[in-house]
Amino acid sequence: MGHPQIAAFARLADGSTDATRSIAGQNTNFTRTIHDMAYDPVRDEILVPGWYNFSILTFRGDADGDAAPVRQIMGPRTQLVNSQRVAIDPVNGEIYVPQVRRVLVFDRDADGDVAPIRILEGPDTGLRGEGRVTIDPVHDLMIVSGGGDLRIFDRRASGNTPPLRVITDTGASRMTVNPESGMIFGNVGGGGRFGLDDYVGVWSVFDDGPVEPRLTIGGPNFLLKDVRGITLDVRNQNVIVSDKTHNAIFTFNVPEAFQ
Amino acid sequence: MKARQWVLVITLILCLSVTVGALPQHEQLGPDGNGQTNLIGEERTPEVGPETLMAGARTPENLMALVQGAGQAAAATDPPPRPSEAVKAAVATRPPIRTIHDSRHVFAAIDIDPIRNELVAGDENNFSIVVYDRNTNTPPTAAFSEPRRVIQGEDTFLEYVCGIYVDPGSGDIYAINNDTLNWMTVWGRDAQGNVAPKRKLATPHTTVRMAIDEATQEIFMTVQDDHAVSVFRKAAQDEEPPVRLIQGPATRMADPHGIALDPNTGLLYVSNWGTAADRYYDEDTPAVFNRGTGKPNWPVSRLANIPGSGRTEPPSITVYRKDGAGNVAPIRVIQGPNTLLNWPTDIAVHPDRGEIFVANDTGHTVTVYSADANGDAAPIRVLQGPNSLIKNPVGVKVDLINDELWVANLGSHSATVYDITADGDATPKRVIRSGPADSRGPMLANVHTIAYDTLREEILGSN
Repeated sequence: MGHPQIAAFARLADGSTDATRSIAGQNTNFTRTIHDMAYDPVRDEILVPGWYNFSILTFRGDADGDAAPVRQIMGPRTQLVNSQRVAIDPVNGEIYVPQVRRVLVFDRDADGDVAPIRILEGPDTGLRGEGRVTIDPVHDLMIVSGGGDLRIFDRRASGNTPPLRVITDTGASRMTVNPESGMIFGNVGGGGRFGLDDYVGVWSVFDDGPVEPRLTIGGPNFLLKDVRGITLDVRNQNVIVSDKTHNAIFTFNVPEAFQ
Repeated sequence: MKARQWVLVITLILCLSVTVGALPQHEQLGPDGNGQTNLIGEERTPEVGPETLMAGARTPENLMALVQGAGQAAAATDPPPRPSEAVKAAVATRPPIRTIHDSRHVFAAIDIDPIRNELVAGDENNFSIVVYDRNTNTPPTAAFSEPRRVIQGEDTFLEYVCGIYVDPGSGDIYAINNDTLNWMTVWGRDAQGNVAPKRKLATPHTTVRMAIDEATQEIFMTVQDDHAVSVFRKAAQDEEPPVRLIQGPATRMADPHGIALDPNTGLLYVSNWGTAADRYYDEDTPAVFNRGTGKPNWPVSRLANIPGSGRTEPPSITVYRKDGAGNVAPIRVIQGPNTLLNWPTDIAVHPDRGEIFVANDTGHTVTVYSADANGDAAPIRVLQGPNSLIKNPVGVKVDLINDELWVANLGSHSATVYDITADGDATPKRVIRSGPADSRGPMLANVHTIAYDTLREEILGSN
């Protein structure tokens, strides 16, 4: 992949539009494909995992060009390795990094070689490898994906704590949550590059067990082929989805998912 | 303002909607004097304060509007009713209202076939290879020039094509992908459309660029994830393993990208972006044992990485003998502020002039060095500026027959051609464009995670 970047597009951008700005360059410490990021609306900051230097990079929200991070969590105390995933709890000021079968939690102001303030790990957690995490600060929940399940923990869980409940066999891995409604939006895919088997599934944070998605967006058997990112424009009731095979960003207007 | 209202305001800023949340508890957090926080397993209060909220709300008026809106609705405490099947079906087949996508070709990698007078480019937008007449010169008023041939489709095994080589003898095209499809594909020079390659070779994940030694019939590939160079037989196919590997801490490779071979000196030049970490190489380590593939000379993978060992170094050019193998130290390292390296993504050698050319993606430059440069060496020429049309250069090639320098500009849908001695803000001799000159487009390639900036109402998309 020729050019890693974080590009900003106007909400109404459509077609082959130019980005309004793009963060990229030597000072950014970006490596190859950026697999996750988080936007902190309270601090107006963007968080990016540094894959090759095992770091969590924080940029100003209006960063542009070859910008250096304003903070960088990196070093032996961090326990970070192959950092690809990150989530922010903007209300409680904490950074979450799922890493193999554990979730590391850092203070939002952490900078340099700092240790996590909490670690969720152990057999009772049921954490299953490469997953994502998203935080619902309203219901005080931490949702962790892995092995196709969505494991819902108390937000403050640490150590060998079991989940409160598990939505099983969702197939979802990448996800986000709307704290207002408690709706989880997760990608589900068939694994192929060209098949129309992907979609965004919608579950509730109150769901438990083998629960079918309440809604599916963009499929299956309709448009999406390889979903890689999901984010929400709550005000306009939009679900925004990136698709690797289409090499595109789609905006779906789905008021039904915000009720 | 009471604490509960602050929580509401933060959540409102987060959601841009009305929300009521449970209040978290007390805070006990502080640095331990070593930059290490000492709170584990205890909860913290929300970070609240006028400065933070002002930053989020932007203006006092907005802040007050958000506060006044709080409390009018409650957060969900029970699962909502499930939608009807009719609603589900309608949502599942609802088309997007907007799509950000660039359907034009972009040039992520190039090679020149001066014998058959063609430019061959790897296109990351459309997962394709495009072939142009070498002498094409897109008029300034034209939207784009049509390629002669396009190889594209599900049968091609092409995806993020980032390395291209044209066999000077046969005209065969070699292509490597950087992600997902870990194959090198080989095509006859007349291939076009959705066709299978003549042959393909399994490669390590995240190959970036390649160089081929016609004298020894070997292919050298940089491997990003593994900070390594893998060497295969040129004729290798399917699951044939590499014949050599350059990998290890002594190599000083760090996120390697470009690679070029000087056939006169037998030296390999590798350009490095600079981020790296340590990994175990002891064969007793499970992640190292058998290289994960059962193939000899396969790179030790990131599964053997050592937690907390990440580091960032300045970008560099590392130089090796072409027969180097294992954890071999570079013969020379070009590195330092005088080098002007800035995401050095591709590199080319002019063996007769004794010069190396480096495409610096975010420096928007091509820097030229003596082939025997060492240390913090300043370039002997720098090609950059508005007249040069160089914008996010990610590919650079030397045409030894016509003594021309070619640059692939990811940021302007163009390949530009210069005299080999071009310097400064030189105007290109020719320009091949696949899109309008004044549009860089979204530059999406391997678009991955996304986020929504609620303050600016912007979509953040990552490559």
